[in-house]
Amino acid sequence: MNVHDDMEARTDVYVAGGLSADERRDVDQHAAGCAACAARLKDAQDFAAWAKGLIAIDAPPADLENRLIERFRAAGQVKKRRFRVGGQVLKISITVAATAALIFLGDVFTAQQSVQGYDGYLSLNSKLIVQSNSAAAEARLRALSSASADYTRDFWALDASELRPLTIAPSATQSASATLRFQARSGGFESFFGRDLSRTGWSEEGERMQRGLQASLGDDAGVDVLNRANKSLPDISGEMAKNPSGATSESLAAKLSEDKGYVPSASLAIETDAIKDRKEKLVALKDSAMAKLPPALPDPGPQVSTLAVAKEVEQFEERPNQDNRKIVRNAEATIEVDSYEATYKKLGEMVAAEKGYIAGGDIQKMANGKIQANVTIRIPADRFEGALARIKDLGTVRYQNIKSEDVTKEYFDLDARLKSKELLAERLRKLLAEGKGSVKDLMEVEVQLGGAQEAIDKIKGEMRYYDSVVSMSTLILGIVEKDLSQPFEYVQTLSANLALTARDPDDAYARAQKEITNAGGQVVDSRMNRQNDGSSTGTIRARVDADKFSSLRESLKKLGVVTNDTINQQKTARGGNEGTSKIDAPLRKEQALLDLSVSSPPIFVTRRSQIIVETGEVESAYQNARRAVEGAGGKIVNGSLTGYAAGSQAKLQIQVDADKFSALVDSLKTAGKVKNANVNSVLPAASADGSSALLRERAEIDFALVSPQQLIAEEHGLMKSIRDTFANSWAGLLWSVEKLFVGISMIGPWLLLLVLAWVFWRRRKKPAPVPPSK
Amino acid sequence: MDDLIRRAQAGDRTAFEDLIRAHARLVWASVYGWVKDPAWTEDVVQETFLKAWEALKELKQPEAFRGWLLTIARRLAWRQAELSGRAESISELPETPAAVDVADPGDEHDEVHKALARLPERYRVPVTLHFLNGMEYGAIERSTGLANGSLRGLVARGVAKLRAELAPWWRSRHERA
Repeated sequence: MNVHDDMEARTDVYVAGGLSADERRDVDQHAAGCAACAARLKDAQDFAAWAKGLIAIDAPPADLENRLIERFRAAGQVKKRRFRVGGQVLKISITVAATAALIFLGDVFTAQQSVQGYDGYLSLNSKLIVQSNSAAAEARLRALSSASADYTRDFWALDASELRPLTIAPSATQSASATLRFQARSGGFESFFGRDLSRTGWSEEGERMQRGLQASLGDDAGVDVLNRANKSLPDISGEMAKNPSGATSESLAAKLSEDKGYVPSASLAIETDAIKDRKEKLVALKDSAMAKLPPALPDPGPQVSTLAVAKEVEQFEERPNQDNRKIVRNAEATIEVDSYEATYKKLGEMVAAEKGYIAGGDIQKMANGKIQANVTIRIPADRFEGALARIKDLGTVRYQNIKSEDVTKEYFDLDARLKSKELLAERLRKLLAEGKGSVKDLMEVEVQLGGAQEAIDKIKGEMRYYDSVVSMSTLILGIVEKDLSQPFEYVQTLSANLALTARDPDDAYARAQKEITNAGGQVVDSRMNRQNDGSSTGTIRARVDADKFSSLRESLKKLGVVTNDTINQQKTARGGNEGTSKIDAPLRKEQALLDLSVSSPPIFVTRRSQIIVETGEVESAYQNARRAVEGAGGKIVNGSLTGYAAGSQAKLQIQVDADKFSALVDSLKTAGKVKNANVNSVLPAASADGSSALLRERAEIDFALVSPQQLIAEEHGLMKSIRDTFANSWAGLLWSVEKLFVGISMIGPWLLLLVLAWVFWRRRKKPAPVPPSK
Repeated sequence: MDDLIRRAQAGDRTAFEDLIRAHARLVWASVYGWVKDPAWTEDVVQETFLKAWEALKELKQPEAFRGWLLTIARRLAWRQAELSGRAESISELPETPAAVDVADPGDEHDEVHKALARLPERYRVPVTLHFLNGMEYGAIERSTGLANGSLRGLVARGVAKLRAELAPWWRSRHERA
């Protein structure tokens, strides 16, 4: 096999170690004798080494598997123990004094940190934005860190505590950002806090956790990191010393020797170098520009560059260090207390003791007498922690949130602007004092001076504001009294339905109204209905004070027989949540609502009678009967008078009160000869409770008047039979004739149609006439 | 392997730990292409295995485990890339290295990573395993489940592509040296 032809395909595999021993030997042998192939092989090897070397920093740790398994186990244990903060993330933004540890990176302008706890593990993320103006400086920093990758990793090691940083990886953007990640294993996490976090009360646990982390990072761990960093410093300075820039090394070494816990970063030192370069260039530019200009008037060009130089110099010299960082710290908290007054008093003492003051607040009294208040407190920044810690002495802390904002950059920007403006103002003043140039020029200078002065005042104002918020921290404290959500009263509503029957509903109706008025009640609505059958119903809706209610009800009941009596009583809590009961809350009784109805008793028919009287004078007897009924107060439901050839008949259907029944029946009977008379009595059924209900008893009478019967003898004998037979035959004949005509009228038209069709058909069938032959 | 998966499906945690041991670097290599930051990469790998453990019972065919695992990893990695806004670094076109002569190691590092990320996954994973995990052929084969012949081809083509992509950088490096 020709190895040479195959070399191209084999080179990369060879470099990657993918050839068998025999194949490798072949390649080696061939390369030894073929310069082109040897060069290709060398190039591939170099390339692989170069690429590998560049990304070697990203290589996974050697113990990757073990770390994964370890965390897998931790996650499992947590599950077993039902430690679940749940899918919902326990997220606490942390405001940490860890900046002490973070300054190593250089100028830390923003630090964001958050703690997140998932099902399994807790992680603390810190993000640092590191400003770095000069690209060259950044490259140098990178070179430094990649040259000693292990150093970069170990630099952040913090194994002594529960927190384990993973890596720091600067990215290659213009303003470099670095991500610092700590991860705490849940096992350690739990032991750290002594007990499991449970779903309930997690916010309290969260607060404790926050404090715990603050302590470990801010104090112990922070110091630990500092110590470690200090030990590593000779390495940095050694690195730096190798660089030819002597001034940089000196300045760095000088700063390193100050053992203040403040470690200047490599990027800072290098930046110095860059600025120094630029400064020199700018000064040279200025000098050359000045040399070219006539000396009469100041030229804005060089002035600007001088100012720019001044600014850069100032900025460098006034780099914020740990001691003069400007950090605004604010907090919000809510506490639950027994009594607002006592708490406010204690709070006042506490704030005074911490050299703070109460800046304002609002207070709200709830309907149940509980107080909810917000108090704004300003406390000197250095005493803020202590004050926060003492808040829990005042009551139960329900919520707490601490925020901090680093305004160092803003502050020092202002400072730099102030200095440059002051410089400008001074120069302008000097120009004015010299008084050289035309009036117009001087006027212009004066206008500029005014503008500069205005800008200076504005900047000073802003700086004073920053000074105030940095030196005094603000705490907005919510104070709520216990049982804020309890009801402040109960309301009792009472409503009743009362139905009565009375013999005289009108009287009962009037008396009921009187009773209600006497009880101090108020009739809201009343009406009286009358029906045709003489019954009537009165309804009254009334309101009465709850304490008079029962006595009124009793007196109303006496007005008749009670048929319905329902009472509905309800107690509702007002102001406050459902379910929070408060036994000692006052009970307020609303006016009771009473619906009363009074009706006449129902009609019940107790007696029935059927009377048939025979009389020659039906009509006059009929009129007499009607009069008798009316006289007895009865009612004629139905009446008829019918005349026949042989006489006449009259019928009357009568209703009358039961007590008038006997007299009426007796008077009706006198109309003639009584043919039939019967009387039935029906007793009303007893009501369910055994008492006899109130009823209106009625009687019904069916009265009939007939004239005497006309009697005619019936026909008998042979003649009747003959007559009947003939009559029947004649009727039969008439019947058959009738049916015959019906039949003809139905069949006739069809027969006619048939005949016509036949005639027509015959005509068609007849052959055409043959013309006579000649 | 299938036996391990079945045991893990039955709830055997030690079996799953063995699975983690066998697949950790494969998943890592797959995720690394998508996620730039190595710290995030490890996080995504971790999350992949936790997710896999939770969902393992849903896996019907044990022999499909590797592909299934990589699918989970890919999904998580994409999400991570989206979250950290780094997706663009992978999709954007290669910059023409006009001013390569002032290149600093940071930029070169990013270029190599980008070139690696642009490789199709079947080339990328073996190359990453070899480059970053220092794995030998045998180990890569076991890890990816590939036979010798195809792996050789993949590595050779992967490295060749990588070299083509990085040629300008490599040349400028060469010239400087």
